[in-house]
Amino acid sequence: MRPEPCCALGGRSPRDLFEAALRRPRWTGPSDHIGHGRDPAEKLEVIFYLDVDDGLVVRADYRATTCPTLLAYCELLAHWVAGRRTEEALALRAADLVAAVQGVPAHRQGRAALAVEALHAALNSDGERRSERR
Amino acid sequence: MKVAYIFATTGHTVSYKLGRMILPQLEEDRHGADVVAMFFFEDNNYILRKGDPLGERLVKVAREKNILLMGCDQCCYERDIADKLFDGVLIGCFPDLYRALASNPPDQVITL
Repeated sequence: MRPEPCCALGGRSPRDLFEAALRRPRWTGPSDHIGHGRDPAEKLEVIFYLDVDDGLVVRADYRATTCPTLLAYCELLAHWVAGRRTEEALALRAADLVAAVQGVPAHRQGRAALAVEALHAALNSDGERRSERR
Repeated sequence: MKVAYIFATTGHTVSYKLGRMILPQLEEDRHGADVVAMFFFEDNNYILRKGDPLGERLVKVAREKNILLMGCDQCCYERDIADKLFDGVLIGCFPDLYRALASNPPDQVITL
């Protein structure tokens, strides 16, 4: 079943997104598209897992280092991308994500780029279905 | 001796121990130890919010004495104050605190 896009990009606080991330049910199956984002200096990592059908993202999940800001950004992205065309998702920029989550101080907003990097890497991956869970 | 304070408990931790003991002593240059950092948990973070009178004094002393002020990021998000803190005050968690202190480590960490 193809999901409808669930939400606009903006309008949720980091607190609510972080709480949602903690409650997120984990998707343990294999994925079509897997993408990584890494920040070695901060020891942060994100992995996005997507299922894509005919150019439409039908399922999205992620794993991320337990930084609340990073988790908040990833949580919003995972909700937002499900049901969207890959072209639309690839057009998303980190600045869009930063603008969408109000209340993150400037020195933490770089986490958005890491989340978007992982999402884009997944969208651009080869689409070979595999399991890669940690 | 260099010390770092972690304000972990609520109650009179900030208003009394910090506000009436540590901060006045720092202002009067008679605290007796070099404070390199203060880390705040839970409601103690409200002192770091712009406009707080005690926070104003704390930030002034911190700038003069190069004291790192950091609020727990989860605590600040939970209270919707993460982007309302005094300029120069960071949010973070233990990895951020340890990284920030790596070049100027304390001899003692005091948890209050």
